[in-house]
Amino acid sequence: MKSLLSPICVVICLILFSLSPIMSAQLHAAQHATPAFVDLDGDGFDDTADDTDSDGIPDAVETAPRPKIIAVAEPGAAFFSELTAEAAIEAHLSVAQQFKLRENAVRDITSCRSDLVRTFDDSGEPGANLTGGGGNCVGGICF
Amino acid sequence: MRHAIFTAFVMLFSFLLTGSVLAELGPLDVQVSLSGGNTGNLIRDNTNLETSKASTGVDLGMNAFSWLKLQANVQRTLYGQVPALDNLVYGVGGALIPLSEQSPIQVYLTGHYRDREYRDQLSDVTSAEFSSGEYDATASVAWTVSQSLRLRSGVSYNATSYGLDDVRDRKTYDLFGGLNVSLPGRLALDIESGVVLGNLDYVPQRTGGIRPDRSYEVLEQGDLNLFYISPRLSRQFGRLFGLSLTASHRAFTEKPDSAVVYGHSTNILSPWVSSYEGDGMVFSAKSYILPSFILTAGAGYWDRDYLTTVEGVWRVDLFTGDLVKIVSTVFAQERSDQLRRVYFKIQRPFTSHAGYMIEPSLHLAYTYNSSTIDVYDYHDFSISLGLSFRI
Repeated sequence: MKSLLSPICVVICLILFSLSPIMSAQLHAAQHATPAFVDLDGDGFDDTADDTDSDGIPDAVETAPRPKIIAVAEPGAAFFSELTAEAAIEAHLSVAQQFKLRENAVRDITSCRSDLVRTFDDSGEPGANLTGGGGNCVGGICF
Repeated sequence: MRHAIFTAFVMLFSFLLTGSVLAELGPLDVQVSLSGGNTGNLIRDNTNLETSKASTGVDLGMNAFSWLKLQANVQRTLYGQVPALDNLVYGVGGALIPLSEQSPIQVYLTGHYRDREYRDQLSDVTSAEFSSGEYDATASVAWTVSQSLRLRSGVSYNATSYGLDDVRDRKTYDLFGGLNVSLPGRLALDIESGVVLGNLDYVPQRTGGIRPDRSYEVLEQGDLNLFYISPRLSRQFGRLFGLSLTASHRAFTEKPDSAVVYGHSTNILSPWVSSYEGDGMVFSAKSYILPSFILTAGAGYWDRDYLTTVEGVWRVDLFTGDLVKIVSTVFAQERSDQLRRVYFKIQRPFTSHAGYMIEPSLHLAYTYNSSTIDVYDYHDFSISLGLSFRI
């Protein structure tokens, strides 16, 4: 029985290995067919939505969205590679805007949920990011 | 030590802000916040201490590079009916995101220091007794495996040191990991789990009566560790509505068997009085249905078991006939609470002609807590109006 198991395992591995590019291609196609809904901060909205003026309201919702902050491509930019084009766009963004893009990419790791009570409606108080949340704190104990 | 760190940071901040370096830096992000309101129960216990409250704060943020942000903050809070709790909080911090936003792997490093100083009721000078300094540092990594799957992991260190030398610093290490999956139908599932390792100063159950002058001397040292897991499901409905449902479970994995902590009514500071295990459920909703407004609302329920707590008990002194407060582990009680909380918030961000972002906001919250210990039976309604400017 043991001697039978090894060839069966090898065959299964080979099948999976051979199928992986096909499955990968299908997954890739599926991903591009419908954009993924990404909500890393738990507000129920898609984090990938543009918010050009950083007011917290996505451009798609605003009645009069501002023009996107994307640099006008230089003549001949279409011939550049994708990477070069991205670098060119980054170069036209301010340092703060570039940092904002990086912050968007890491919003799922900016806080942990070890205490759900304190993270519940902390955003209710101004300056909550540095002052430790919106709760009342007396004698070093925050409620 | 605290002042040395603060001074060093201010010097670094000043250096980056001035001189030839300024030309290479991004603009200074200044946010001024004002808020005022009323809270029906400031300390969240059955004293129902109602007071008006006013707060003003300034947040400064500066991007030295596209991967580094330095922050500084100061906030002053005044309480109309309880001037002894007027306090000043100032802090400094920084966040480092060294990899490009296009990278599938992201590293996030951050650190903050906050100092909270209370005013002494009698002498009107800074009170060292309740003042505290808080430090935190986090190192975390996120990996975008595919467009619909992200993994994350990290470690966070938090410490609070107290102006009162008798109270030992509270320190915790959080180790966490999580995943975020995009599901069909504009649905996302996020699961996070981790352990929190911390220290604990407690009164042994066998202690009995505690003399006021020995209240900190009888403390013993131990460990307080816990495990948590928190799944969250969120979904967007059309362009204007988003909902999320978050559950959490916390359980102590290590604590001394006979640990007792001082409760509120003893007037003895114990940073561990708010440590708990239990389950919670939070529902949050956000909407843009009113043009140019952000509406958020939420409701939460928590079933929490705290460390065994001792409260002060009033008894008549047989010799003097006066009422005296007795603190004794003989009166220690198991504490189990059910907390319900709802809140509503409305924000109206707009940009002025001068290019400043201005955001008025209104925040309402109602909390109701029932407990096996009467001191913690309370309800609280708070309302606050806020105004923030971002320059």
